[in-house]
Amino acid sequence: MKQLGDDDILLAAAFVDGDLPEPQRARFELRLAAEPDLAEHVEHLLQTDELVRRHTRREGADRRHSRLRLLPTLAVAAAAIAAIFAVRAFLVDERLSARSIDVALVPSFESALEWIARDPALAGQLPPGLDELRGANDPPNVDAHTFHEAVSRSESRAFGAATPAETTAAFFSLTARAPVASTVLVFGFPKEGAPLRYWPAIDDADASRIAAGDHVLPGASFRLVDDPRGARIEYQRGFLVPIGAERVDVVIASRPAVAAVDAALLEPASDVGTEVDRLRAAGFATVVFIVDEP
Amino acid sequence: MVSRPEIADAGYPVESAPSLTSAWEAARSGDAEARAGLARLAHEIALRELSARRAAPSEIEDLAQESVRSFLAYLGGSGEAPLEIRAFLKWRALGVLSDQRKRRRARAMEITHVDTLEPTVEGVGPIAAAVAEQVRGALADCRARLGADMREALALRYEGGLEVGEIADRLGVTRNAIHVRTFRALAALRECLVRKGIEPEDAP
Repeated sequence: MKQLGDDDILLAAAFVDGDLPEPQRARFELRLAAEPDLAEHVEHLLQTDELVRRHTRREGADRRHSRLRLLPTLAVAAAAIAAIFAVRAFLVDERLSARSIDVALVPSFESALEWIARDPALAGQLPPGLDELRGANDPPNVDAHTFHEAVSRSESRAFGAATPAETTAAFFSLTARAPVASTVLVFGFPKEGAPLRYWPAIDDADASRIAAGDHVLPGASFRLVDDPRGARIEYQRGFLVPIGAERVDVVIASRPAVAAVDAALLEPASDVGTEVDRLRAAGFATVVFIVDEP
Repeated sequence: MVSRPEIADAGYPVESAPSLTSAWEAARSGDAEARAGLARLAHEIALRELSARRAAPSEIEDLAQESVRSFLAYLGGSGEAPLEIRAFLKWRALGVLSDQRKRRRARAMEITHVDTLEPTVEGVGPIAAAVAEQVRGALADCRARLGADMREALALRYEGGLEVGEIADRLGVTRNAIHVRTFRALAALRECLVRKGIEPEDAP
């Protein structure tokens, strides 16, 4: 097996760390598929990294401290999702109308560049963070804070946008404006395939409770990260529309967070109608969006 | 976890096509059946690779579907065709897995408890536990043999759970320097483990 040069070492390590933005990642994967020596090095790197992770117990106290330190950043990021192509609906239920949340379904994309290109206010902008690997062909042309502000403006427009009930997307996010602390559940019912729970995530049932204010589920598409390395943007794609689903009926339910959620309610029902009925019986207001697979 | 639907119209005979390359070309020319067939192949390969990589069972289907999306996005673009499509699909899946692991580590800093992050070898039977203990001992010994800079970077990476940028900040070096240091440290670790008769791909 040939030794790797410094450039390839850098690419290999960045690949293993999920640190290659999409254009570079695809180029590197093409090379991995064509260069057995390079592929073997990366295989070994992945295997050893996985082995060490399996046998490592992390320092939880330190990480919990980090979590608290980042909460303000999270709050800012949650308020900053771009939503110019959003569809929007109000959760209307007579019992809860005064406390219902305002929710919008926002189509999302495989890559950050696609997402940016779809918004005329953001088109062509490349903030730092989307070109993390040094030597990228396209250097940043806008600072992270400016980009983040532009995204925030898009979000405010989305909340006043028209509200078609059906849209086409491979990924999507939800923006939720909660006047009071609320419990939010999101389920998907693919035309082809079994029902699924989008929110809260499988390993984090407590996330169903959201504080009063603006939120993006499952997380902001573009996070502003500002640390000693400088401000930068990170991209997350959002919820996935399953391959082959053809279409997904997305049920969003909310109610004031006054009581714990029955564990049975966290498992999706067999179909949309049953789901909506049982959620309403449990005091939730519901709305259904249709997302067609591209 | 999302469902595992059959890929619609996935009946295109990719396996019996003159070559995967012709299926690729057909798909790029707008042949929906060829595209669906390649998507099915991408899904199969992703499931296999992700399982082999011990991705969390509850997440494998999600990741496989994300791999397919990622592949289809590339197919729909203007990037060059892979010379080895199967190998490319494998690496697409592993790239998605790396990406997801990074997101999970980052997310852990915000909303999850760190101990739930990655699969561990806790909770196995007594024999497997003994083997795991043996691997842990070998790992500890091999790590102790690394240079101080490598040990420090690995400690921050694994025990500290820090991302590359955070490690770079702590150590006052560039992000790239950490990438290179990590690569060399893991290569040395592997070599040491293999000398002790432990193959990382087979170890618990």
